[in-house]
Amino acid sequence: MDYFRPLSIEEALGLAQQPGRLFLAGGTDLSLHMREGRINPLGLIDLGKIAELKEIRLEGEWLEIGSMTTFYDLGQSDLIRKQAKALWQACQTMGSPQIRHQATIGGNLGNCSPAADGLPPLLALGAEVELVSARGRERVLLADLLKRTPLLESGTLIKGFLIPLQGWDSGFAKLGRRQALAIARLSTAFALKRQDGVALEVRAAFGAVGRRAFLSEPLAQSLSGRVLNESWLEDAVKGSQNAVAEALGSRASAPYKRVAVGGVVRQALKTMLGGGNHDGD
Amino acid sequence: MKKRGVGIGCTWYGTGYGNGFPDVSSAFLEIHDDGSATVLTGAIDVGQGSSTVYAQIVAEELGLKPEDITVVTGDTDVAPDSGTTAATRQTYNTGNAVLRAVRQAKGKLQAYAARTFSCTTPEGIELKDGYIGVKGDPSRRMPLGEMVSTARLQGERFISAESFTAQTTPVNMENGQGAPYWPYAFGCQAAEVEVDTETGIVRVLKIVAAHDVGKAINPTQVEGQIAGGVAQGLGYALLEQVELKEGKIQNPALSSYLIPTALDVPEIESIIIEETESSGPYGAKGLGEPAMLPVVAAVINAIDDAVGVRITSLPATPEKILAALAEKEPERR
Repeated sequence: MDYFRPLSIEEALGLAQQPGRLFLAGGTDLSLHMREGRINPLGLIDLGKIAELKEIRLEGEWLEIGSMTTFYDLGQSDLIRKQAKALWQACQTMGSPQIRHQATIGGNLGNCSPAADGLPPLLALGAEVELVSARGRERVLLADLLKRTPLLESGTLIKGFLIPLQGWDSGFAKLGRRQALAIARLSTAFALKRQDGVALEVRAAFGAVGRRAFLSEPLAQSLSGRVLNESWLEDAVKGSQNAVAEALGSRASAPYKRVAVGGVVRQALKTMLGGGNHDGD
Repeated sequence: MKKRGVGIGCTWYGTGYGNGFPDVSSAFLEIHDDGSATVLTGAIDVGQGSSTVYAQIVAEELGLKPEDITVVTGDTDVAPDSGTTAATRQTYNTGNAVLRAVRQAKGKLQAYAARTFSCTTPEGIELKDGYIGVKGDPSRRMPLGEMVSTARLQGERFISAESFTAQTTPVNMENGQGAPYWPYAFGCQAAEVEVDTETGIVRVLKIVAAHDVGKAINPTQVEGQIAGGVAQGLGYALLEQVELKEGKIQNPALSSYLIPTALDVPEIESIIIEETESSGPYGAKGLGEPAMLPVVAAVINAIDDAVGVRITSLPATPEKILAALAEKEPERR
């Protein structure tokens, strides 16, 4: 097997022209798949030396996150904490300290596990994804990208994520079997744009209920344009339970998850609504 | 909603192999001419600290420091068999063998020293603070190593071999009489839990664990064994489950067979009870297995206290708790 460590995106894309080569991000999923023999690439293109892919920065009306940013770096970033609270929260609990130092947000999307911790927050925050390949560049809403099969054409590199800065609050919570090193059995992220105690706009995302993380449009609509109060919260809980019940159908985990999501949603919303502190500090 | 509850669990547990099975531990020992000693035994220290306990026992008898004692274990070429590190038996059983061995070698040294110091009885010889001498007479003493060295030049060495067998009998199946185990361990633990009625998740907030160890030869290790037992018991109560499908284990890895992480283990308060076990070394008996036993009952009782449901199969998963709550309050669904 060949191993490459390009120093630029152009070089990486050139190397990806040969068939059978895969991009290597943090490798926390890829190396396991290889060890189990589920994939057998002819070559790995390690993206770890491309500095451009590791940046977190404000660019005009957008928060830009390079695909090779680790969960640890995101979880330590003041920018992420202030502008993308749900993502910041997800980065505190994903895996273990060792995994957070190694795993990247781009790899989280590339691997696209149903339980990927990074995706519900990015969905709720309205993130767009920047893709590059020898065919050119593309900017696409993450919510739209997640509806594609396959997720990415071969030779496509996830350059980064762009989160619009429009004064949204957000919150994340997940359900695992234990307090650390637990794969999410259920995760949720909510984002909220509010004014004078009214929820102007809402986004609600769920993970680990179905094949990929998704946004629930009906739930978001039912909660938008309403006064933020106890009954709004209870409707959010009930609406989430309905959304999860619908997504899971007759799966074995449905009887539990369709109830339990209520507690998870309550936890995600608590940090946003409790005390009315907008930036959650 | 998060609801809190408390519960207790008690245990009594027969330690050792039991039922008349030959439960034998052995030890070899030598007191060296540099004032140190070596004890050899087959007992394996798997992290619980048995080797430290043996060093402490030898040091206590010889008036030395534990760091003066070399403990050789696990080498079947040189060390005598002491059975398995199992059944909560190494402090008690092998501890007794080590104590017998060191007392045998010490007796020979005392007899030699009694002649050297013109003391009428070996019992009048005291080993203390690295010295050997006549009790109550500071003018007649010398460093331990010097005495052993002098003896060695005269062809005498202080070497011993000893063993200890736990006394048990099979139970008479007709009348239920007999002494199937000895000694018995006793313990009691209390758990405080918080149950989330929406997710069914149980967080254990605190465990208080009281265990009768006869005599805590090493109190820090006793606390460590209690903490380890509690952590393992929490896994038993809430997480651990072998998933079998057509005879094949479906979760043969620590990524899928889950045990508690450091974040899942609560504050643990240990209470050490020292009710002397007359047949044990300095009154000590074992703690290994008993420390994990009461956890399950304490946690399950605490869940019941918190939300009023009785979980009757392990582990007590969030699914089972939610299902039990739904059965109790049908309007939840």
